Amino acid sequence: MIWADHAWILPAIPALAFLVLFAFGRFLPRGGDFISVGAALAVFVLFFFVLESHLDWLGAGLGGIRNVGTDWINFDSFIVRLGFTVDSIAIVMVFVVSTVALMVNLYSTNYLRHQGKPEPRYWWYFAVLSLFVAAMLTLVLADNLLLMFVAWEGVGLCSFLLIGFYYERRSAVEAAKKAFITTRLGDVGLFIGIILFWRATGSFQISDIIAAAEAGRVNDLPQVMGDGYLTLSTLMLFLGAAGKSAQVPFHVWLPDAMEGPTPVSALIHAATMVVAGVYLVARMLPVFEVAPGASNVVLVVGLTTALLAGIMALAQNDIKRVLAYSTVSQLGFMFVALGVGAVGIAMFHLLTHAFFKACLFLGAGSVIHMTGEQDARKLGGLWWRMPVTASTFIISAIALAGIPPLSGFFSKDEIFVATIGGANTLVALLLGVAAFLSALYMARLVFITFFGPPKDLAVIKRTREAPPTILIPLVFLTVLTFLVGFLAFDQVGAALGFPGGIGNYVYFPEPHDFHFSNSIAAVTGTISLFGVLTAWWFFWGRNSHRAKAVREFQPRLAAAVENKFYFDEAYQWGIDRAILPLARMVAWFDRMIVNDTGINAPADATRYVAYWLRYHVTGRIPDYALLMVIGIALAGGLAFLLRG
Amino acid sequence: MPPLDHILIVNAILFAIGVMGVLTRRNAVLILLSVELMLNAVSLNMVAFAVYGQVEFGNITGIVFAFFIIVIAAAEVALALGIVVRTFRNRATANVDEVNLLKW
Amino acid sequence: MEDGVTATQVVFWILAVVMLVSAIGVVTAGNIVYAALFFIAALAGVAGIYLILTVEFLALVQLLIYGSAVVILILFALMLTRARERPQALFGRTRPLGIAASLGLLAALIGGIVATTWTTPATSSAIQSVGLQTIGDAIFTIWIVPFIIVGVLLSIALDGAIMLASPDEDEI
Repeated sequence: MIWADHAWILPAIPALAFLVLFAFGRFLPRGGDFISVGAALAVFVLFFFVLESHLDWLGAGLGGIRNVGTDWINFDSFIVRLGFTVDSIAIVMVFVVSTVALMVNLYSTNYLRHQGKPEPRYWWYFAVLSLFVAAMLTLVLADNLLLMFVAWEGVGLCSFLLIGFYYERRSAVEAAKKAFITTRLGDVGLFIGIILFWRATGSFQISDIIAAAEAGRVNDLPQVMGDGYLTLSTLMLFLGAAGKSAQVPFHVWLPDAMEGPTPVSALIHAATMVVAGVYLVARMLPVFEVAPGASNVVLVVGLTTALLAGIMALAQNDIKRVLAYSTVSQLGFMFVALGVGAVGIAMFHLLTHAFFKACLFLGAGSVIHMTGEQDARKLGGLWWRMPVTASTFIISAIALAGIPPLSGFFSKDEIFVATIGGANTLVALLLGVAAFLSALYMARLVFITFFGPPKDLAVIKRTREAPPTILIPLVFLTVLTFLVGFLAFDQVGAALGFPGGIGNYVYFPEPHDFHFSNSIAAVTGTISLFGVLTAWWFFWGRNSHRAKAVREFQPRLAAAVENKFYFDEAYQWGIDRAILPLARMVAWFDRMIVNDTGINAPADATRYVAYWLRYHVTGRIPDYALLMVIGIALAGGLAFLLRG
Repeated sequence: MPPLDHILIVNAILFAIGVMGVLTRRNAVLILLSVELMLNAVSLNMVAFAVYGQVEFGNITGIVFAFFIIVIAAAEVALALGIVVRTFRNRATANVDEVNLLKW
Repeated sequence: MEDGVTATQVVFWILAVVMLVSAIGVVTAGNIVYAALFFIAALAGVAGIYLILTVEFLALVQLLIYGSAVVILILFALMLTRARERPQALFGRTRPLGIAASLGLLAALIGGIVATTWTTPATSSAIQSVGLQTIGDAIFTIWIVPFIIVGVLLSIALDGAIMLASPDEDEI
């Protein structure tokens, strides 16, 4: 059996699990969580079969891309395929999704319990989790934009449902709505982009669109816009990607999305769904390269996001929010890599980031679960109460900070190499600042959470190390965090059966070897170390007066950072001043013109006439029969006259 | 054999007479008789089409249809007479224009 | 079409006139029993036309079911409703309108028939008699399911008629 030709099985399994859980979950023992875990495990195992057959083709020189599927919608001129693509990008994504999904499923079986008792809607959580995995796998395997869009909305829906999982809490409801609506703004752009591409090429197939773009056939028919049409369509796609991946100016939803259960943050809002935007751009990268200016937009947005989110993360005190801003910032790094055309490196950073960020979130979840507190200012000194959690968290944080030899170092270093290779020193410099910020905020978070004197002795006293179902995913992901970084090396990749390092596996347009440049590595390593040292200088336990001094030195700037540069306030102002008045006008028009005049008026007239007429009805059957015959005779006569 | 359109015209007249009976009579049983006339006109039409069409189409569907119409008519008469008897017992009349409950 | 008027056509027109006159009698007779008798005559006329159209089977069924069973049912109903015991107007108030409407319908029908070009077989020999066996084959092979359904329908209708006509329990 050629597994890659049956890749549809991967999303089908969790979809089936969702159906079972949706229908019977609440009646099953343990809320049916074993079905969800089992589905994730099956996907994880089957992934390796798919990988193996994919590598077989690569080895046999059959090309790295396999399309299979059937027609979903087929009118003569409008064909949408229900097709699946297996290529190296999809393989990376499926690896991330299946691994993290399995870990999160396992972790949630304990996290969603209090003193061993399942929380309310425990079964529903796992049902939606399975649905999410199904939608996410469909998204990464889809071979056409329309199917991808359906899955794209599917993961958005699951994100909405899971952020609002604790819907008794008003903030969770608000956060869910905010996430949904904000990403929806981008999705509108994505859909417009899909339609624009379809209009120009008559196809939704990604391969067709890329071929058409490279042949210069993507333009509006009268040729008014010239290349502008291609750029516009491409940027519309990027709008969707930016919304999903929380890039500036859409980044506001991701930190609020932390209202959901922490494993959800790890799976959806760190490792998989938010990287869907990166994935989309990576998949469509040939188009971005052809469209004039598109890559630069990606680069600028990514860089801005990496910097801004890095700064905002500095002033956050909620553990999960720091991690959320860090996610936004790292996604910015990936977009920078895509902006300079290094798809393999972007996917590499996506891969490493998925593991250490999932691990960080799960570690934060472990802290929150065991202490009941997620404000880092009230924690501190936790490391000797929960050594396993602390060590996995610290290792992942070091990886994120980019200190060798952990995975984050390699992927970030690769991004630097690619950026400098893209001959843009300014970008590389700014990226260096962002990398410095990553090290700084991660070290700060670790210092104030796990070290220093405990701020609240009661919290420390009741804290114990988490149970094994929580620790196993942590340790597993930490091991992966150690290991995946070495995939950059050709020798490691070749030993595992890949054609070489990640650059020789995921690439566009040409495979390239891993450029390990000692000087750049030394610089990036130093930047990261310097970030950690700076954090130690300002935030380590007894040094915190220095951070306070900085805040007091520039109170306005500090307030701006703490308020996330007033993005939310600005949006709220815009909504209050522009959108709500417009909505009121539309609502007024709808109520007064459409509803009262357009719909109710004929109804009222009918009712009035009927009220008046009913006193003139005899109720005698012969009268009705007579009228009926007259009507038939008239209709017959009319038909006879009109027959020509 | 008479031409087809002659038969059709005869049937049309028969049908119109039936309609006239339905519209002018008061007594429910007489109305029923008129409806039967209409049904006969229709089934005669079917048979005429079937017989005249069979050379070209080779089917006898119209004849079978007429047969079914006769059977249905028998069922319908039985039911309708039941209703008439019922109405007569409840309202002491078999005249349809004295039954005027079909209004507000 | 054959030239001249054949004997079949003469017979057809005689039967047609008898049938139509009887039908007019049904709808205009001043006596209910006369109306029922006219009805039998009209049915016999229809059966005769079936014979002319060479469908003996239908003519037979027409006489057996319509001419006897249905008419007897109707006569029963007339007696049960004591229609004769209370002499009263047999026509409704809207009689002129009804006549006008039916004439309008007739005009529309005849207009349609005349305006259409009907394909009539060239010779009468082209028309083959529809034998009993052909009809039987058709009913019991192609139309077997409708035949069964109509049988069930008939028995249900008879049950329903009995239910309707039987007195309520408190009336007994």
